[in-house]
Amino acid sequence: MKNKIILIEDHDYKRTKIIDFLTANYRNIDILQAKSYTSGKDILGEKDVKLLLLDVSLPTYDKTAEESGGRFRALGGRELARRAVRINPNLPIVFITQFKSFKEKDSSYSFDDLTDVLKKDCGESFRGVIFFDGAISSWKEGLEQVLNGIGFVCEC
Amino acid sequence: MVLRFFRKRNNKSPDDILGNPFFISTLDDFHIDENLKKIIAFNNGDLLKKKLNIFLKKEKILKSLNISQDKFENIGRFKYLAKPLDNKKSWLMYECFFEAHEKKLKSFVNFRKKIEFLLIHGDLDESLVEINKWMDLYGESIWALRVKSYILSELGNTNGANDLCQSAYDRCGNHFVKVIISRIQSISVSSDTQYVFESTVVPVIKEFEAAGSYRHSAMLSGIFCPQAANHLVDISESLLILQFLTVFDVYEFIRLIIINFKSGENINPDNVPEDFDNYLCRLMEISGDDEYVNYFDSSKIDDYRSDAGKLILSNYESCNYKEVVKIFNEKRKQINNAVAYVNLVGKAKAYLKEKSEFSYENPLDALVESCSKIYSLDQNAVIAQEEIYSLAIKLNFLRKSSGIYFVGIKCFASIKNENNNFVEIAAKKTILESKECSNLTIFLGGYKVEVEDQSESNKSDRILRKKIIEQIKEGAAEDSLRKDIESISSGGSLSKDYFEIYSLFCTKFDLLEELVEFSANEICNNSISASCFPMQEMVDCIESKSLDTVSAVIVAHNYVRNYDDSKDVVLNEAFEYFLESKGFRCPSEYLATKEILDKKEIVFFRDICSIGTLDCLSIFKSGDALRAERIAILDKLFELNCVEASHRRNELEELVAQSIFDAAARQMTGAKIYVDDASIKRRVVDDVRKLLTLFNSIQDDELAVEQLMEIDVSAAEDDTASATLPRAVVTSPKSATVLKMWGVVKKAFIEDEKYGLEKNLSAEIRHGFFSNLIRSNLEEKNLLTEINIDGSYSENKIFREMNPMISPSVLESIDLVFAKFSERISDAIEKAEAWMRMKNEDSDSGIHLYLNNYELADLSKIVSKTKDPNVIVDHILSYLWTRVNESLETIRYKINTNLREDVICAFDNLEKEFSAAKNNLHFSEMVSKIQLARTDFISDVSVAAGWFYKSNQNKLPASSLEHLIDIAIKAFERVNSFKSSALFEVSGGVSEIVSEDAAKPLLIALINLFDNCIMHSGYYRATNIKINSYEDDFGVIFIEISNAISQNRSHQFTNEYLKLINSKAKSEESKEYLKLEGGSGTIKAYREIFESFKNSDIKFEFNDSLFKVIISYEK
Repeated sequence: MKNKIILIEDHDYKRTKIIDFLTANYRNIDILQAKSYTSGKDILGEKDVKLLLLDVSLPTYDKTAEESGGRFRALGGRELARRAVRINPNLPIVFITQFKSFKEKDSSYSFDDLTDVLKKDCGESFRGVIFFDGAISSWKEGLEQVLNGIGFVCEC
Repeated sequence: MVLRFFRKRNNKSPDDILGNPFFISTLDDFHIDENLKKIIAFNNGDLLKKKLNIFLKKEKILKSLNISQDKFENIGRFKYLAKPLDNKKSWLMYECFFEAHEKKLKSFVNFRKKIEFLLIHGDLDESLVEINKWMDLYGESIWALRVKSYILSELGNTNGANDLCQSAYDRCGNHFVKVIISRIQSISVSSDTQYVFESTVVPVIKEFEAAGSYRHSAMLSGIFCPQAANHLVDISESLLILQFLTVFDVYEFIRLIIINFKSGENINPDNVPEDFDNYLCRLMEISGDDEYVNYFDSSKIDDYRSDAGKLILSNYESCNYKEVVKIFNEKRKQINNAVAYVNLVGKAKAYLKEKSEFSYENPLDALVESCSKIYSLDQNAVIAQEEIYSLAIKLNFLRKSSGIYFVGIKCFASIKNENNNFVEIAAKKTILESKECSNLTIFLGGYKVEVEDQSESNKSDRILRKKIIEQIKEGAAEDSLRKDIESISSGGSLSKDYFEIYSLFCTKFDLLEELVEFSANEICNNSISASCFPMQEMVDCIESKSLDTVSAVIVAHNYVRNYDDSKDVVLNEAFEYFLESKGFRCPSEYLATKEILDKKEIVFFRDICSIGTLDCLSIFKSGDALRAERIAILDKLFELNCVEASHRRNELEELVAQSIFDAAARQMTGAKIYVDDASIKRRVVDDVRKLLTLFNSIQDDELAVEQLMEIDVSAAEDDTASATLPRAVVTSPKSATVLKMWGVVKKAFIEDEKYGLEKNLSAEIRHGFFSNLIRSNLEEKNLLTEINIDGSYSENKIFREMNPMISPSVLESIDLVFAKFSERISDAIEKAEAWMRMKNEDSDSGIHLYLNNYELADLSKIVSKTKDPNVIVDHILSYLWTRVNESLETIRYKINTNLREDVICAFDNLEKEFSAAKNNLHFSEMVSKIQLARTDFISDVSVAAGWFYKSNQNKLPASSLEHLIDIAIKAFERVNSFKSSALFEVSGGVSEIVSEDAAKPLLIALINLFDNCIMHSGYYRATNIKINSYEDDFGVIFIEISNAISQNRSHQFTNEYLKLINSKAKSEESKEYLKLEGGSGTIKAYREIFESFKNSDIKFEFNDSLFKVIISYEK
């Protein structure tokens, strides 16, 4: 059976980079993709998922020619992760973001503040927050570490 | 001869100079200070004290000090006496100053008692006479200025208060004292004290702190922050700079430090003397201040209670509430500290259900009335609480000001929360500031309270409540307590007391779920009651236990809306669980099953099922589906008589407008810079209105732009008391108010989470979009390599895979070429992203939203002339857009030139270096990839530059009438989701262009008319709407909207009815009706057309069961 990974990411570029990295280095994986809070929520109930990989900030709806994306949820990924934990408390969760700070309504979070909040929300499921920068490979190492930690074998 | 004398004098020690009457007589004030400085610098302890005591006895020396000044032109004029001055020396120096001014201080302490008594009892005329006498004798000081400006303002003489402060301001030469004076002026003349405090005082305190000038920040905090509130900074940090104030102000500040230190407030122990108690004893001796009794022996607090106070307490304990009020009214002047009893009297009034408006003649009555409103959970309880805090800010110069602020705290702290350290500190400050305190204050301050057993009233409700509280804390059995609590609810207790006791009971017995159910009911009855419940604990319980009841949703919603919006995840989850528990996917499905709604359901569907909450449900896949859901809910609520027609229509209109603009946004592929001006305006207009009121209450000070002071922060800790302010602190209150308006609008313009510029720049451009756009083309062609963890660049794997036969040395050289190229590209992107940020102190590039002096002068003129805050907001928004557009032009220019040049240069280098590194080998594929990437990059640059235009998302472009009718129909269908059933038939068609300004009003009119068709035709969703547009020979354009009316409705459409709606829509009163109640759909439609088109008209006809609306206007 393939290792199922849920990837919820609205940026095409970032999503492609992550998928490229995963498919290039891990065999036998099946990546389920979503591009928004709503479509992400729809696939959270999938069975036998080995990893939830998601952005912290997401639009409410998939952006299409017909839809501008609705409200931008600065912590939409957090909402999804809380739900995921309730569905499957053992599901490893990794956040991957390009933001260094977050502002939601009147609350501001630094990267470290947010890490603490997410850690608290996700409990045992929390595996880390990875900072993504297309120019630097460290996000790949971070992701590789997490994947190795949950039993994925890197082919690289 | 003169020369010789000076030479000789220069060889003398400062002790010799200051000890010699002849020398002193030849020195000016500044030279005396210089010598005194040296004495303080080179002497310590008892010796210094001895010397100071000797020298300060000499009148000329004493008079040369800041502390002895009595006119604003001299206050803060002289240099600090020593820098740096350690704290030990500071305390010693102040003690010597106090000793030197012993007589003055004694007089001050006595006078203050007298005038504070007059003020608190509202004897303003007499207080004015007294303060004038005092100032004639002892001159000016910060304290006296505050007292007198308060009195004048309360007497209705705001001009007098203004003149007084303005005169002090104009004469004062010390910039920091000017800052203090201008804030005194703003607070004393303002009618909205709390707002003025938060918007013009707190930011300055924070600015000083942020600038590293803790001393100035601490001094402002000590002077202006209500004493019982938490200080923003440690006020003892100001110890060194106190010396430039008058002796009265220094004494007052030292007193504050003492109170704060003893109460456990945030005071650095290193800033206070080691022998603190002895110091205080000496201070009491010098000043004759006898109010520190509770400081030394708190066990005797009860002994200082006045007879009238005792009488109030005993009657209150016996539930003789009428007597409580009567005694207070008759004997309040016999009470040492009447403020101590205002909570009891207010509560007694709440029991008596005595209602009154917010009008009173003195602070005591104001406090009593406010307490009464809070205890009775009056709808104005929130305003009442603000009243108390405003009074505490205004009267913060009183010796007993802690007690005033604490009145507000006590209203919500009658059951002591062991974990609330803040309340205990505030109670202690109140106790330390006054001999006489209430039992509750003593209890909250952590001391034991002795209450006489009122045997007669043992069975009274009050005694029972006290007993229950004790039993709850001691852990009595749940069942017996429950019975007792139930008996309270049926007794005569105030709801607030009952809710608080029941909350305590539920919290102690872990019955928070039960409390959630109970409180939700009460919140629906009266939302003010939320203040009686432990909202945070209940929300934590909802979160941890995943509660799925409507009550949980109501409690979470109230908490998110009024206390902490970061908990909206809990609200969303409770909302979803509730629907899931009921077996529905969305609220409209659930609502469809209802024929009647209870109060909780009404709150749920009407207030909670808003777009902001509904969008957490994944059943809706688009914004339009979401809006359709809300409209379905509104329609059903209207049908069940749970919302007014105007409420429904206003929301509908807004939802359709959102849909239209959302559609416009989707088509917007270029410009990404968007700020929703209308929403920003709605958000800030109230704040600007308050500031405009403040502005108008401050007298003219010529609005001098030059009063904006640009002073270097580094100078703030200089040894001169003057000219030392962090930059950008404005001293003139009028200019400060205008700048504050600018600041309020600017902040919302930039930071608003939904509508602000930064949200756009951050979410739509900086975070990924820009760098991803530039990088993706280059990565696609395998020209970029990544930085490894060790900081080195990785090899170009794909190039290596494609060229396996190439020697390692060539590959290494080529890797180096790609690494250099990657680095240059990263640098160029990083540099470009800095242009797209808001400019701050650390950067010299970015979007800079400043107001220049001409604009400030211009804005000040507008503020002076207008009464409408909307006009001011519009002007500020136009300045902001001017700046944004300037910045956008710069960004576009930089992208098209600097970024382009940087990247082109990187490409040139890449080609050159690649050519050299490939060692005569032909890598034609890579060479062509580089050339292709260069071409693609040029187009990417144009795309990125195109983002930096203002997007007119919220404005419809000028369009043909045909097109606008089409937009209106589509939007109406989308949000009503009955495209398949409601039929629109469009005929005719006019290609005449409707201007940008008229497009939106026309759409609103059409949407209102479509909605009317659906609501009144009798066919509801099966209504057939016909739209015909044409132009006649005279250039008049007609739009006809018609629909059939069902038989059972057609009898309503009589001639009289048509006459009525025709005349009603056009009447002048309709305008007012529209403003107040939202009007009807036809009135709304008429007004939109009438105000936007030339010679427009709207007619309503009914023939052959067909209702027709005819809009006409001239081209």
